[in-house]
Amino acid sequence: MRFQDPLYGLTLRMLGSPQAAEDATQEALIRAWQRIDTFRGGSFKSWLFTIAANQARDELRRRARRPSTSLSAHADDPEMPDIDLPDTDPLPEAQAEQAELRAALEAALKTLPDDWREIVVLSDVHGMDYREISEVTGLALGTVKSRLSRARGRLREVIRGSRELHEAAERLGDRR
Amino acid sequence: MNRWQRRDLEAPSTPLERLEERLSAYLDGELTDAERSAVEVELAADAETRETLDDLRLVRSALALLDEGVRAPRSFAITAPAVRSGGGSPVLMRRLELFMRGSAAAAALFFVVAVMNQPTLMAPVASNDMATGTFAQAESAPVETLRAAATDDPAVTPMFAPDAMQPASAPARAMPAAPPTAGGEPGEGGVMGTAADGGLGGDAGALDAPKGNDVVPQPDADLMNTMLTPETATAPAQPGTFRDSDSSQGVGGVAPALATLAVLLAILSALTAWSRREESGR
Repeated sequence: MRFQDPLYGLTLRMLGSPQAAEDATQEALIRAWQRIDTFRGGSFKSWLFTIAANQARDELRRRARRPSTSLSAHADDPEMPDIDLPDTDPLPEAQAEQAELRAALEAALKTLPDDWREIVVLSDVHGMDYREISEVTGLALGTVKSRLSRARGRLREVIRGSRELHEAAERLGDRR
Repeated sequence: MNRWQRRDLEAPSTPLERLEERLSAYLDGELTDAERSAVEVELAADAETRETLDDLRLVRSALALLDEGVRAPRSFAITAPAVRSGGGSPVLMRRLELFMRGSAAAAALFFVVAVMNQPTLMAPVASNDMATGTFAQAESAPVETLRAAATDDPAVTPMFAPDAMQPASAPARAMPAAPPTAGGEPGEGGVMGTAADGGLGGDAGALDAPKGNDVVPQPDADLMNTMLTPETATAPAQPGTFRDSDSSQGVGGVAPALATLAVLLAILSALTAWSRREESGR
């Protein structure tokens, strides 16, 4: 199925738990099937993502109503798949830096507010433009733009911290 | 945090946040021509702005690669049963299974309680069959014979006496040759209907009961003629009138019904669990 991987990826990023993401994806696809007659043309991907995002948001609301572990608690979850960035640079140093950056980004994503995370994932992970995100989330374009920049700003701080840490380690290595 | 406070929080408040919003939109190609030109001027003039843009670009490209390793753990191809059930998701199926297990346990518990409180509920009621059999015999008799019997033949009369018409359950009630003897006390003997007999209860018993030394009442010929017209004689028994099985022993059916319900729910629960396992195994 063409869209199942991105849909699963979206719900996984939004919910943080593979089991919850699996349930939400399955439920979203069943709903899409049942409501296929409500699809009025346009982007089928956006339509599917809207259903999946709604499903994930419902689950987040359910979690908020009942006491449960936070999303960051899944950071050490052994069930959480090991998401690896593809290594495009053959140099070991660059690989190490990339792995460090990836880990830092993963951790930082989990600390974002749910609605910021949803938008940055839709935009930067799934490549949607502002209008599509507005369609999926039901938010105004201005709100999408604002939340996206705030989320990226927060992630930028993480990257800067990671880079500074890496530079400090390099300097330390040069002195020796 | 209310909606307005959240809105304030989201709006860029510092120069850096405003810069990041401009640069973020610039990266995404969401600025007007005029805005884009202004940003490019700013980028040409300020190294820190360029560095911020580089960072944001890095964030964007790193996030774009983030989900390349993510694969759905299984196929989510929708099966017909899942769609037909209107939500055959694992969560719903699991809830349904739990609900059925709980219901089966509750039904089984009620069954045990019902049997313990009234152990005779499960026992067969022989007297019912006898009484019903007697009346069934009466029903099958030809109308003319019955009419004649009601008016002429004293040997057959007791069967059609008002007593015999009662849906009594006591075996003595069903015996045609057991009219109350003279001098019998009210309420004595098998002919007497009691509330415990079921059926019409005390009123019927009072109707049946001969008082003291009264002569056994003979059926009124006109009344019997009215009662034994072909329509009434051949018509099926009306609920609550002649069929003993319709008498007030309704609770007797509760225990077997509960047992059946418990078994059915347990079977359904097992089927749901099996179906769910099959589904997740695909």
